[in-house]
Amino acid sequence: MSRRPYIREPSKTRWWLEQPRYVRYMMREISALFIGIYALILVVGLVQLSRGQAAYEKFLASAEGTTGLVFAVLAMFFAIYHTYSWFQVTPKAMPLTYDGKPVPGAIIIAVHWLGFVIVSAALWLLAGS
Amino acid sequence: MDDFIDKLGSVKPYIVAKEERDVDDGEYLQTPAELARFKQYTACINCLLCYSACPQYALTDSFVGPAALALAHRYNLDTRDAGRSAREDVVASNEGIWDCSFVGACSEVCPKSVDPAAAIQQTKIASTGDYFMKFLMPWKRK
Repeated sequence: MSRRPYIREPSKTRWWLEQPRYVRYMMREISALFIGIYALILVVGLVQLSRGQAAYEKFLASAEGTTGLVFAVLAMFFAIYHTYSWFQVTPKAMPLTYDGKPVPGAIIIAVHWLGFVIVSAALWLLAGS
Repeated sequence: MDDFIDKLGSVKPYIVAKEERDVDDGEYLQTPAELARFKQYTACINCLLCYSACPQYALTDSFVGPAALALAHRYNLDTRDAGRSAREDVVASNEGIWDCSFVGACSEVCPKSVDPAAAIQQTKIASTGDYFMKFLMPWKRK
């Protein structure tokens, strides 16, 4: 008697809802979209800036509108999640050894956060705020 | 299971020696540090829980999959092995490491604490390096 065949047929569109870990993965991937859109908005801002003061002020006004603010908050949330989720997996992609012993993952992650804070602070200072 | 066995075979999960050695020449020596580089991957028991957990494999069954790629990485890291370029055709193909989108479920479910997701990401980095080295140093062939 043969065994009952194992057939796995996930939904092409809803597979990622099946398990919390798939949802977290999808969140990490989708977060890139918000960062991409935010980068595009910055490019539009630059273009408007090159067109003169009136155009740039119009851009600023639209960015400070309700839609602009809601999107900025959403983009901020996803950018932080993006950073967090990728930093969490860095020990897997970049395992380090020191003195013949593996460096604990928590240290690799912490160093990434430290670098993130230093670069952010440097940018903050450069921007003159 | 047959599918996995075929894929496992395709990545040459055994030591491809640089040169055949006579039994009289003695053992291949390896230091504890060299062993430590790949030891966790030797714990794989081919239970295929990683394939069951992998949504990528569920959607695209041509994907070579976590365990086979982790074992390929295990032999690539072995100092006694010289089969990396022989494995490359399968491992560094679209159906190999590049089908992996790093969900990481394989490593979470592994009962032997093998980390196939880590193996695949490290292989991606190594293979990307190979790709660029091909342009920088075309005369140098592994």
